[in-house]
Formats: sequence, C-alpha cells, structure tokens
Amino acid sequence: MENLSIKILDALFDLCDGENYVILDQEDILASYPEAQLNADELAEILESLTVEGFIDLKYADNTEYCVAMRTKGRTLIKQSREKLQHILQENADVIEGESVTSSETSDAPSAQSAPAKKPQRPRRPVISSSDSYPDSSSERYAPVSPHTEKASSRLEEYKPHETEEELEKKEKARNTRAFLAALLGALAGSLIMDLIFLVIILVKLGG
Amino acid sequence: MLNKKESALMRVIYKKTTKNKGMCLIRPVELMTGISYGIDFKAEDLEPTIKALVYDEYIEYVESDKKGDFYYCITLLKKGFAFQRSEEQRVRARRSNIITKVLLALLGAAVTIVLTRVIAPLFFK
Repeated sequence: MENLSIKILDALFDLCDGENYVILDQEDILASYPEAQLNADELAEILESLTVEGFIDLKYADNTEYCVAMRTKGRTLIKQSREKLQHILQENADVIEGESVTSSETSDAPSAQSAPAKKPQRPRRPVISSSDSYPDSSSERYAPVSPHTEKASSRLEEYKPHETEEELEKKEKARNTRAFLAALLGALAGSLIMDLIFLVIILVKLGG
Repeated sequence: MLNKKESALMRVIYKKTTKNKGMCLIRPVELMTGISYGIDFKAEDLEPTIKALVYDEYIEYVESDKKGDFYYCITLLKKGFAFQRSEEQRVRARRSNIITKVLLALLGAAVTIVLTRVIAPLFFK
C-alpha cells in the first residue's frame, strides 16, 4: 500500500465515527492532510483502492462528497501503526534522555569537584559506561550503552541501504571461486587417499 | 409489484439516483417533499416503505451522518434501474387494457344494435 493511501486512511480514521458511515467533503479529508496536494480524481482513486483492499467502504462518491465507513481491517491497521509509532517515540525519548543524562554527567564532573555542596540530583537511569572499555576520547567514553541504544542501533542497522548489484556480483563470484577450490581440494584429497590405499595393497601383496 | 406509496417513493429515489451513477445522498425531508401531495404519505411511512423497497431488491441504503444531519445514502440495484421501464410497461399494459375494454364495450353495443335493429325484426315480424 502506498504511503499516501496510509495517510489518507489515517485521516479517515480520525474523521469517521467508529465504523458508522459518514459523509465527508473533499476539503475535510484534505484539510487533515494538507501536505498532499490532491485533486478530486486522485483522492477518489485512493479511496477506491482503499475500498478494494478492504480498509474502508466507499458507498458514495462524487467530486465533492464521499460517504465512507472505516472497516475493521483499516481501523486495526491504523491503531497498530499508531501504537508502534508511539512505542518507537517512547523508546527514542528514553535514549535521548539517557544521552542527555550522561552528557550532563560529563559537564557536571569538574564543577562537582570544585563545589563542595552538591545539588540534589534527580534519579538517573542506569547507564553502563566503564572507562576501561572505551578509549580516551570523551565523546566515545561516555557513550551510553543501554539496552535501548543497542535496540536502536540494531534497528538502524536494519535500515542500511541495500547493497549495489556490483557488490552482489562480486560476492557471487567469490562464492563460486571458493566452491570451485573446495571441490578441487576434495578431489585432490580423494585421489591421494586412493593412491595410498593402492600402495598399501601393493606392498601387502609384495610382502606376502 | 409495488403499491402506491412504494411507487411514489421509488419515483423520487429513481429521479435522484439516476443523476449520479445510481447513487444519491438524500435527507428524509427531501424524500418527503418529492412525493406528490395527492398521495397520503406520512413521515412515519418513510422508514417502512424504504425497507420494503430494500426487501424487494430495488435499492440498498445506509444511514449516514453529515455534520449532525441524518442522510440516507441510497444505491439503486438492478431492479431499481429497471423501475422506470417496468413502470412504463405497467402504464402501457393498463392503457391497452382500458382500450381493450372500451373496444369490447363498443363491440357489445354494436352487436346489441345489430341484434335489436336488424336480426330481431326478421324473426319477430
């Protein structure tokens, strides 16, 4: 499904009252998603595609008005995606909070030595950071290694751009060469073993 | 076969829906005003009459809402699209029925005249 369709579906989720049918003006829909500059035909097309996919039910459409109802499938999709988004935002907020806490630690460190009376600090999230494991550079030294950051970094890794075709071809070639060499080595080892066996048999016969 | 009220309502719906690919958004008031005053159609007759049209598979409808206003979103079905044609056929059949009856009456009158004026004098001289 296109990104635009999802955004329109998201707008409809807010405009529709549960799964009841409502009549919406074109402006109502476009007002909730002002970035998209759609004309009536494009909007109608998107709504029809959403109907075909079973996310909404479009009962009536002319150039200005649409009678639509959200289907369970569409409602579920939007609910789930919103929950996911909220979850990700929450996680990111935690990570940012963790980072800000560690950075404030570093900035507070010298002043804390000079000032005898410390201000009561707010409870901090546990941040694993040992001076042995990091080099001396301050930015790396105080980098928070919390489970959240690990998750976030793994998620970032998932979003790596895909490898180019050239790289894939190179990899394929290297794999083929390795397979060929392995087969050659296997054949060599096999022939050597056979030679040894024949040698042993000949020696046994000569000795007998 | 639709009764008088159903036909009247169907006529209004047909007129509205055929303007837009067999669909229309219409308020109950608009439906009521479309029905001619000669037919005794009350506001409380609207719901059962629409339902009767749905049962007879002329239309299907959903109740919808537009900024607090109640609307019917009506879609014509196959039978609904054929409504006008069947109405015309019905009118034509009724017309031909009346013509046949008039002709029969005239024929009867002619036969009576012939019997009384021509044949009867021959036998009862």
